[in-house]
Amino acid sequence: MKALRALGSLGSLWLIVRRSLRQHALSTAITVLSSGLGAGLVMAIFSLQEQTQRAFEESPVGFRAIYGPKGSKLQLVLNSVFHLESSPGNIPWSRYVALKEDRRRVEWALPYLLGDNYYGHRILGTTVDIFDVDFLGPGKKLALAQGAAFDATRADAVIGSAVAERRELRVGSKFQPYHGLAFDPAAVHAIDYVVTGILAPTGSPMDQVILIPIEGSFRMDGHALVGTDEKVYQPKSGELIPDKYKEVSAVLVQPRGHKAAKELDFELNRQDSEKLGTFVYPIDTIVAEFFRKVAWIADVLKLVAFLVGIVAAGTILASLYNTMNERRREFAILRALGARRSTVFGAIVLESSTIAALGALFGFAVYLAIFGAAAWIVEAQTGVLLEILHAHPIFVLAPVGLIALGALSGVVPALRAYRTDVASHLVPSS
Amino acid sequence: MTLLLLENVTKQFRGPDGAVQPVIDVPRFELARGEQVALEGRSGTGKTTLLHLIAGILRADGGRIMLDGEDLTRASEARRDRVRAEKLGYVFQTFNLLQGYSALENVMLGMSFGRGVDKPHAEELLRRLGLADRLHHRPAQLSIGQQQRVALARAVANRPRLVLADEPTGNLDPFHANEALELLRTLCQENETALLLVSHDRDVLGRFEKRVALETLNRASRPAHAAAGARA
Repeated sequence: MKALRALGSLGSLWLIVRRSLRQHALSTAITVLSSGLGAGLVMAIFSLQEQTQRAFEESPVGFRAIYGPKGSKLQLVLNSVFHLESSPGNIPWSRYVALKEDRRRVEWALPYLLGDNYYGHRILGTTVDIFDVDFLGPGKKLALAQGAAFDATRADAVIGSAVAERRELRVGSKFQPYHGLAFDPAAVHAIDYVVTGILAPTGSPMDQVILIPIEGSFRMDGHALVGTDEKVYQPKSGELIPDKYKEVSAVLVQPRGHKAAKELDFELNRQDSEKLGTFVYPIDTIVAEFFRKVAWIADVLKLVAFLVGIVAAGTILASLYNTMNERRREFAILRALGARRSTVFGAIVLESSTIAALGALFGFAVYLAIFGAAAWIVEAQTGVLLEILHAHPIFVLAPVGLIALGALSGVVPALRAYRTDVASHLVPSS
Repeated sequence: MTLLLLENVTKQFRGPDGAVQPVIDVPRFELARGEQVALEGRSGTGKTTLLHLIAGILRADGGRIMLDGEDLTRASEARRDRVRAEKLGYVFQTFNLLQGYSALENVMLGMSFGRGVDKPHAEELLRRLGLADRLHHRPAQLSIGQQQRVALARAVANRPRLVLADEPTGNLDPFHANEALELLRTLCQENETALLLVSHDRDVLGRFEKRVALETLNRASRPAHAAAGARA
């Protein structure tokens, strides 16, 4: 009997809540929207921060060191791994050769030469060795989904999967590179490159780039090579380029273990009398350090998101509180029908919790919109794929927290309803 | 057999000027099970306060109110709520229907606080009262007469021991007043529910075999008593 009564009470509570939400549809909708915005913002910020940091810290490449021009290590990493930021300059080809031939300490080394783009997609000049090494991690080579690798002696290109999709390029398609790392329609190179292969999707920045033979990069119109003798050299067609004039933007290095890497670090960063370049090892710590430095930005964003959530809870409180005067007669009637004070109190708290729960549901839609937009931008800029449905504790904590805040914000109006004097609100009286 | 017994029940309020105003002073009143009694009272004779005391909405300052063997003057508020939900039906002059709810929901919500919702019974009751095609209409979509019939259905839906009716026909025209009164009396008779109706309408009062004048019953409503109270 008690259980039936409890069920009946729950049913009546739910009916009271539904009717009130319907009667105050506009304020309910506004409150649901604002609290959903708060919940969605919190979920998006937490999820984006965690996934972005992990994606950038857990380097999506198989090499653990980079050797490039003297300057910022972070810029070198962002430039060589994520294809972001401007190139800090070039280093002589001889440095690449020296690293490649250092068999004792270097497992493999690849040259990178930047300088051109195709509609914003960076064109990387490199060697065919890039297809033979474990470029994406142990046992993970760059695989071709279609076609074949480029021929080092021809104007061939292998394009990333995202490039093929966005630029609608296929095997056999021709395109003309543009000078510089940023797209400028006026800076087109008058040379046709032919797509010989398309990389299988990697979920890494490699999906966004175009690989061409490094010889092609050397010979691109307008590329002035400055050799070790400080003379500017312009390669002529058919002429073999002397090594002393060749340059690379960076050398991707896979050291033979930590000890070898530390030796190279010491040698190239401290003992190099020419102080030509910077050796970065291990590259993931550089990104981690960067994220540590900018962690306060994420903290501020989280704080803003929390404040939005609290303001949303305040909106629930205000919207319910404002309806209390007009609803006093309703509460008095309910009490006259036998409803306990606790029933009226419970109805208001359930109502505020329901608004918050609806807000949390809407919050997931907001999350999907914010995350979807952010993930699209990150992928377009870096090629890094962010998973929109990646599990994160915030997906439980934010809705539960919002509902708890909602319930809490219902307590003040509920107390007002609880104290409603029945006799004086059952008009008229004599 | 006595269903309701009032003994030396008193209630007083403090006026805006701080003076204590006795409103109820009933030495004794009894109502038998299934009995129908009309209380005759003008405005200001404390009839609504008396009904609120019997319903347990207000607590008496003194005396004893026994309903179905239970002393409401000693019962906790929660207990009085339960008694009101299970043993009492209340018909108000202004109907006091919940505006956001349909006719059926108004009746079912009243039931939900008592013995539990019995939807078929609520629907049957409204059909009997001629509201078969108005079950899902909200009060604002009903005529005054229809609203009063919903209020009647709500009051008797739980098959209470006692229905308190406070000027139930006060807002109705003579035709609808007569109809509502007959319905209420019939429904109460069918369920062996006692009816305590308060009115100042002579036509309504004339239909009851047993009538009690509030001025006789409630000493506080007598002019001399009121004047004495005001002086006190």
